[in-house]
Amino acid sequence: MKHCDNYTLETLSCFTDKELPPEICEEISSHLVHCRECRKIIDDYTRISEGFRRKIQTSADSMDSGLLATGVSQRIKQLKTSRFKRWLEFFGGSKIVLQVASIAVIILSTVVYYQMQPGPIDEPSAIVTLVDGNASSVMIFETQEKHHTIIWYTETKVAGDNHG
Amino acid sequence: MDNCEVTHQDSDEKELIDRLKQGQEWAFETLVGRFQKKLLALAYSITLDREESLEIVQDVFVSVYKNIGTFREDSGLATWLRRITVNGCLNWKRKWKRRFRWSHQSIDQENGTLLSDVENLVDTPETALRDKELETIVMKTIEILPEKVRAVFVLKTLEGLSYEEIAATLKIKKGTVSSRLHLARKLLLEAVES
Repeated sequence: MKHCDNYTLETLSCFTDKELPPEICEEISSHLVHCRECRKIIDDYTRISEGFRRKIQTSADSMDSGLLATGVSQRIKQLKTSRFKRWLEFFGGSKIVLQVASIAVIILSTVVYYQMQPGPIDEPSAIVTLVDGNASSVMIFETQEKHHTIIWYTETKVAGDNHG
Repeated sequence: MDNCEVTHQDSDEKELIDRLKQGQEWAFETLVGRFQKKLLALAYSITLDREESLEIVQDVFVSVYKNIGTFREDSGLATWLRRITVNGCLNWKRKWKRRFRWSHQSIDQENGTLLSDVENLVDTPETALRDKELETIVMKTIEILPEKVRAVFVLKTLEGLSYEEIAATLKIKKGTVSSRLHLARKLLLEAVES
């Protein structure tokens, strides 16, 4: 492999890839005009790259890409199935998990049932008795929930009553 | 390529990524259809083995399916796929076994037709024959290059990446890219001239 002493093979390789500063690129371009050896090296680098690209492209084109797509699709289906199986195994395979889940459902249903019942009424459930007279008025009734007895008492002053 | 076209491609890719993240099947089929040829060529150029290339590219797509949720979109989809493929090729589990086989088997056996093609091309024009011969020599030399050197050569020659992009893909220094490329070309040049 003959080449002149002005540039190393690595520099010529970088020149082929346009990876040198613009001023050096210009310098080499001018050099190539009258240096046959360096020009041949650059040409050979290019020919080698083209040959490689051609060969790889031909080989890749002849590969069965349909086979690839089918293979990928099958593997993804397997992946989905195995995920689903794992999920099933987690819930179906462990009896403790099933029991805990059942208890949770029962508790939840009970809470929801009681939450949906109507709330307490702010009125007396029943007036037990009513005593009404000239001197006073007494009302006795019970609250609905706690069954507390409340007595409502009023007094009216009667004319001529000394105790009033 | 004008700016408008680039923007259209970007939005197209963005939409594809979104659909992939949503787990839409047709989006995945589109991805496979769009990139399979390119990735097969890339994998084959590094492994030089058809079956392994098919397997590696399958792994790449399955990996994308599993990990698309973690794709941060710092780089383009093509760059991400390329990186997974190159890593897949370099981590190739059976590479030692295959290397052993390569040392006992010529490339014409691996490719089935390569050398016989050259022999059968006596009647074709001289340039075509010369091209075929060159391809044969190049492929035989590529085969004996160390995998890391070959990967750099492939990323430059086939993918047209800059030294900086190759360095980022392979996680090596830019200077290493330059020296590996030089080594690959030097060996190829020697082989072609001999």
